[in-house]
Amino acid sequence: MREQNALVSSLAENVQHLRELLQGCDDFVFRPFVTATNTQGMLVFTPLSIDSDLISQTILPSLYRLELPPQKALWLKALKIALPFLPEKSFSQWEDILMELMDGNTLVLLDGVNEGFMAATKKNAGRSIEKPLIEAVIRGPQEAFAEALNLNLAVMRCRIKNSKLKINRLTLGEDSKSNIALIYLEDTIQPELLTEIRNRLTSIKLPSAQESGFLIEFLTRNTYTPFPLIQSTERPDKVVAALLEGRATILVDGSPFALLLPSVFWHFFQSSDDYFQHFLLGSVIRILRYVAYFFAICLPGLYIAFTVFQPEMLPLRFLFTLSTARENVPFTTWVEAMTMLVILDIFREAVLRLPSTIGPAIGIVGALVMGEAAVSAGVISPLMVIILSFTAVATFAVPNEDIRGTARMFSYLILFLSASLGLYGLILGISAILLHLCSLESIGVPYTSPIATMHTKEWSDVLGRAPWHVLNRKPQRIKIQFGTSGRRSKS
Amino acid sequence: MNQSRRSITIFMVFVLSVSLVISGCWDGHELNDQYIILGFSIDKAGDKIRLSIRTVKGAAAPSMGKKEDSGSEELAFNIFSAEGDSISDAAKGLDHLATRYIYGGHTQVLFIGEELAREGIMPYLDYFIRNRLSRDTSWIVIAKNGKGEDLLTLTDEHIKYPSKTIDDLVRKKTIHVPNLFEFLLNYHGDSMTQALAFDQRGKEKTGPPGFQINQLYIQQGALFREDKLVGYLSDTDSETYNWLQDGFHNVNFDPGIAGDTGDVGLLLKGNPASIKIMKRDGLSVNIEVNLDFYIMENAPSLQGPKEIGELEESVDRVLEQRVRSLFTTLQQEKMDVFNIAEKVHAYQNKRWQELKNNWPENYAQLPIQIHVYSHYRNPITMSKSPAQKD
Repeated sequence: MREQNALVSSLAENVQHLRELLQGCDDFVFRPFVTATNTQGMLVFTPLSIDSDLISQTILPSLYRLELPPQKALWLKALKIALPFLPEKSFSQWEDILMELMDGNTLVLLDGVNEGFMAATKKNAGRSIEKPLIEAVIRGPQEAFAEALNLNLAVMRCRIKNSKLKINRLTLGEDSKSNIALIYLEDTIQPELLTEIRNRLTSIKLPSAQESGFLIEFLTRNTYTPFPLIQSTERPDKVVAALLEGRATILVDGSPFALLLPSVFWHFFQSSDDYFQHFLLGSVIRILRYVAYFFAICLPGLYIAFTVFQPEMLPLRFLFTLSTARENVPFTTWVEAMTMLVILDIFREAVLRLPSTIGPAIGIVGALVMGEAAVSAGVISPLMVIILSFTAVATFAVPNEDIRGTARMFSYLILFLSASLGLYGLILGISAILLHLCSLESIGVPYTSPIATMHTKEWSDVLGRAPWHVLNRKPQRIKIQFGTSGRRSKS
Repeated sequence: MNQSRRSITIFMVFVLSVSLVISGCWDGHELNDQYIILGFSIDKAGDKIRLSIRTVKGAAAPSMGKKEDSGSEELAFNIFSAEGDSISDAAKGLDHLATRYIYGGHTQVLFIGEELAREGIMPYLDYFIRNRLSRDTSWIVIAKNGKGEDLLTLTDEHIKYPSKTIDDLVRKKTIHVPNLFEFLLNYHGDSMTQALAFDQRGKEKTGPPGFQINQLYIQQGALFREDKLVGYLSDTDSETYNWLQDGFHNVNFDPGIAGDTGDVGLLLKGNPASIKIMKRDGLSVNIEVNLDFYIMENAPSLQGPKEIGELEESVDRVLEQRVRSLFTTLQQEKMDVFNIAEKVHAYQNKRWQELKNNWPENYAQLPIQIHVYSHYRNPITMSKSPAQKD
């Protein structure tokens, strides 16, 4: 087979070559036609994702009526006049033509022309914009990204009507050739940060990018931390807020989740609700989320440390209650807690994957029936049920699934340390987690900034949520910071 | 470079691991493997020491404060007693008796028999100060004319634990009970004397059929010189001592002043007394008491500021007499329970150097000036008794 990268003038040869390239792709249709001036032509398209009305009612009739001048030099001009639906650009390389074909466009080939024309016949067959399923809010916009990239980009354009909103399109995935878009607000994002993100994005080597989650590991370059270093969201309003903050967003075709980067620890505790309601209420609720996160990690450990090692910390009457509740329990407290924690996580995992119609039923069986039965059978103490239920509820109060996962993971660590060393172990565990948090960076931005970096003027949107007029004064945007050694630290 | 960094890392990991092992935190005990102790008692038993503990049974605990079914009820507590040459010796005996680990982190009270208190309590308290078996905030109560163990077994209808009675009274600020920490603080002070609380058990009153009610009365004023019991304060003086130490917390008081239809009844509120050392015209002690009072019963006719002023003066006089009476007793007994020695030492060090060698005698001679300032409050309430006819 001869090597051929560019199109030739002969239609037969071009068609022959294309058939070879598309061998085995039964979804492609080759539709010959003849123009009014008897020039042979060929339409190539995949009927799966095209607008067939456009082809049958507009493109084909125009091609049959096409009158080409006798001089071949004028054909291109004549084509553009007679077929206004064709884009300005024509293609001469097979590689480009294949990309367009795969994308759902229709190829128009004419005998005697060594260029192909792509008619934009792509039709989005996917989901349209729907309500957010994971990041639901009480008040605020009820729209979430869908799978189609163009649709998602259209939503972004609608929300920021400003030419400073830049959308850079890239192709990723050596095999899948997925479309991705890097979105940022020019002048707001720090240029060094943008360069760094671009560098990391272009250096990604992976066969296929089906979901934005695929990119996270490549972008953060830190695989061994449980903490999420890049935030993902399905809410366009959250993306807009991130862009205004000087962060960038990556959208991947086929994924309804946008990546926001860089992300610091506090971002995962912010919810869109905070900004839609009164700032005092928003602040109180946000602080509650931090408290909930602390309890989700530490409560089982605290319970063990207090009851087994440091009962002096508990009020006398509470100690009596605990003592009574535990009187006939056969297991030691830590075995009880560990078992319950594992059972709780199994339940959580089971309910997560079940259809929404039977999920609640399992929840009822788990929480009510089994808990009640275990307590009456004397296998576990009622206090333990309360502690574990509260731990579970506290986990759900954290608004982000990625950070929720860390709470689940660390609760085991803290439980183990508390069971062996009491409060001392608990403090050791928390210190270790804090030290690890402080060592993290997301695309060069310290993970615990601006709190740990003491940029006090930026604290207005971290622990609480300041009123808008204060937030708008926020002096410093998200910035890459350099390590003390003078070089940019790896993140 | 790399080699040294690795050895530093290994060294750090080693040091941190050692800190885990030596932290002493591995001694956890399950709640159902231990007895929660609320009270200890120490008594003389011949030439030995008798140590008793009262433990609470977990299963019985929630009914605390509630009446249990009479009849075949299970006791809500266990008493364990052991004798030994020292507290440690007796504690060893307790370990053999009690089937569970003894947890004293919530110990509330330490009852001490009178006999032991007269001999000196410091050698025995040492154990409780050092050991985790007790806590510094345990109250010290002397069993007047009896044994501490008897108090430990006391149960009444409403409150099953004697320590709970003390807890309630201390919270209400009805009494001032010193704890282990305060005892030690004063023990190392200059005056070497202090007042602890003593108890007086109520006689067994006959209640409804099947009930025998015992009541624990805690009063102030077991007077201690160093660590030995030397006497008691009277009820009236004990009450005055409490006012001066803790202030007036809604005290119902009859000053003995005639109102319209009987004696005037007052409610007193005020802060603890301020005790200052004055050196003008020789060394003297100035005691100032500031309080407010409300008329609760049989108000005299208060027509204007003059009458109110007269009433306030009368109250001042009565209270001044009470304070004077307390200090007369204390000076006669040479008991410096307010630790005036410490104040003289702190503020008049030169004089202290002269006085310290013979402080009890010097204290007995010290002029005491007492100033009581009472203030009539809530004049807008009914100034006339409803019994009074117009």
